[in-house]
Amino acid sequence: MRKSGPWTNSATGTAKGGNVERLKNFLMVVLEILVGILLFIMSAVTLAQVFCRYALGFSLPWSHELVILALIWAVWLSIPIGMDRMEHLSVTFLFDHRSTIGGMRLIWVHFSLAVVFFSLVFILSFPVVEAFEGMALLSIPVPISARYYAAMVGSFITVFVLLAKLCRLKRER
Amino acid sequence: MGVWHLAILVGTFLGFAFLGLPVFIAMGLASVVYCLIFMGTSALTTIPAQMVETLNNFVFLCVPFFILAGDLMNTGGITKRLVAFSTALVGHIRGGLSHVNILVSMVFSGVSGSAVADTSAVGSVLIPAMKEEGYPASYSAAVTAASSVIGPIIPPSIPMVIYGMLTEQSIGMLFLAGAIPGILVGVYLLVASYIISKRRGFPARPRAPVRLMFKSMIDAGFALLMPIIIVVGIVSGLVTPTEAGILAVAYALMVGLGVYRELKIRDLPRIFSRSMLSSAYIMAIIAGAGIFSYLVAEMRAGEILLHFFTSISKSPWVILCILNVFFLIWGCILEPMTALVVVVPMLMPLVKAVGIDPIHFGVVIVLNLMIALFTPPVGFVLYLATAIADEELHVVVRETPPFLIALLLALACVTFMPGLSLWLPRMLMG
Repeated sequence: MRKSGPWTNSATGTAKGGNVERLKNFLMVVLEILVGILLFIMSAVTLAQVFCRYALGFSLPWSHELVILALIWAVWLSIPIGMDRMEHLSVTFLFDHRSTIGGMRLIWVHFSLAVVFFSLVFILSFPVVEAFEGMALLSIPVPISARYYAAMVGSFITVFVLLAKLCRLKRER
Repeated sequence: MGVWHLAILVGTFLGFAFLGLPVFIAMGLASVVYCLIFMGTSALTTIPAQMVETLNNFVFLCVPFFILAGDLMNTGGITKRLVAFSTALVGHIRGGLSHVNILVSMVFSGVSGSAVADTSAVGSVLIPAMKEEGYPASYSAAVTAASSVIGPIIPPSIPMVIYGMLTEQSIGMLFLAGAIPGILVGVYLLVASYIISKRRGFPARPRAPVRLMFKSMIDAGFALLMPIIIVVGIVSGLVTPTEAGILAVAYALMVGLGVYRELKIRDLPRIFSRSMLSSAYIMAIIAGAGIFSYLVAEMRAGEILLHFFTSISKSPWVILCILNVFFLIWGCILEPMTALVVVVPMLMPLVKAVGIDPIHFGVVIVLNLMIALFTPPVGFVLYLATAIADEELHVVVRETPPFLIALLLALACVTFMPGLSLWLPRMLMG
């Protein structure tokens, strides 16, 4: 198992292309900055909590919920980046022994299955979000559904990234 | 019925995973198939809900924090100082740089907690240096990959955090439990490396003057302090694992920016993004495993495995032997984190029923899965070290048997002498 593998076909790279490709590349840059900022927020808030608790003798009760929310969003926003760069962990040793034509077909199968999965996550997130409508987190004025919106947004962007890659694959064929 | 449910879930997952899909998607799709067959379409909403809910845990924050701390320390110039210190300490022994490689990995593991980070940080410095001194590239890659197995054993350890979360065990105790086995693995590898070096006549460096040794120790002392801060903080109950993680980040920032002065403010945005992405790839698997664990609990897979194994034997030693063989094979086909999250929730009822200490079991399986990182076909650290050494994989694989034997011997000791894992946590944490 290693990072990328079947997804590292040159045809699925990130070279510049049409408008969709440019939009996707721009989105990836924005997301990368965003996840860095989210980790910075998590670090700063947790450090502030530790400092307040041990040095000043009081807690920041909102810090736990805030950093967990940031973590959930950071993970879901990182997923499309990982899909775009093909950096998610995958088992590749069988794929590595495929023929070129078989490999291309397999990449189509991968992308299609991934699109199906993330589309499902996107669609299925709606009832989950609805179920938590009107309920707020305990210590910060944010709805509980904000956690599940992360899955919705993350899977939507991932579907967009995958479709952009599928279009590019089709064009290059 | 339950066996078939379990077989279909695991079989579909393996099928999707072997197609080459990212592991967390394979888990998700297997869960979709399972829900559609056995639970109906209404159960599908549990998939996004569980994927989010699994991440809704404060302790998981220590994963990005430990990765960030390791990245900050590495960018801050810790690796070359550790190499200088280890060279001064053991460089004069025959096959000096080979021993330095192992020793640096032992210390570096106290900073990073990840085998892959260890391989890339230590390998990129030491493999070229070893090649320059006349060591075969294949040997340099093999020793680097073997020694990086120690990374997730000596605290802090990301797999131990994940194991602790999955099994509701104290992360502090797990960290402590890994300390002696980690050192033992290092000692076994040092012995193997010494025997090989002696037989093949590898070079030795001149003995370093005491003054230089002392200076390099002070230089590397900041790295040596990091695991102590983390472990003492957690064990003493002063801080939680997540708070220890953020203290490690603050410490790494302070050392990199203020002491070594090799870390630049302008590097920080890149490091934060990179660390979050690396963490997210692990967290995505954990999110995927969340659905998996939910389904496994629903079908009572733990009870199925309990009946199956106890029908073979009720002896904890026999069970441990069987599980060791199973995990060695399982780890050869799946990446450790995946292997861990898929199987551990199913095995815990069995482990508790036959009287195996979950802390001891945690150390055994983490060590076991780390050894699998060193063996093809998964062997990610082996591939990475081979790439750094610019050598053919099959040539590197030929160099691995002595190290593999050393690692398996260490695994046998850790498995059959629970005291090695349990003495320290019991003494310090009761």
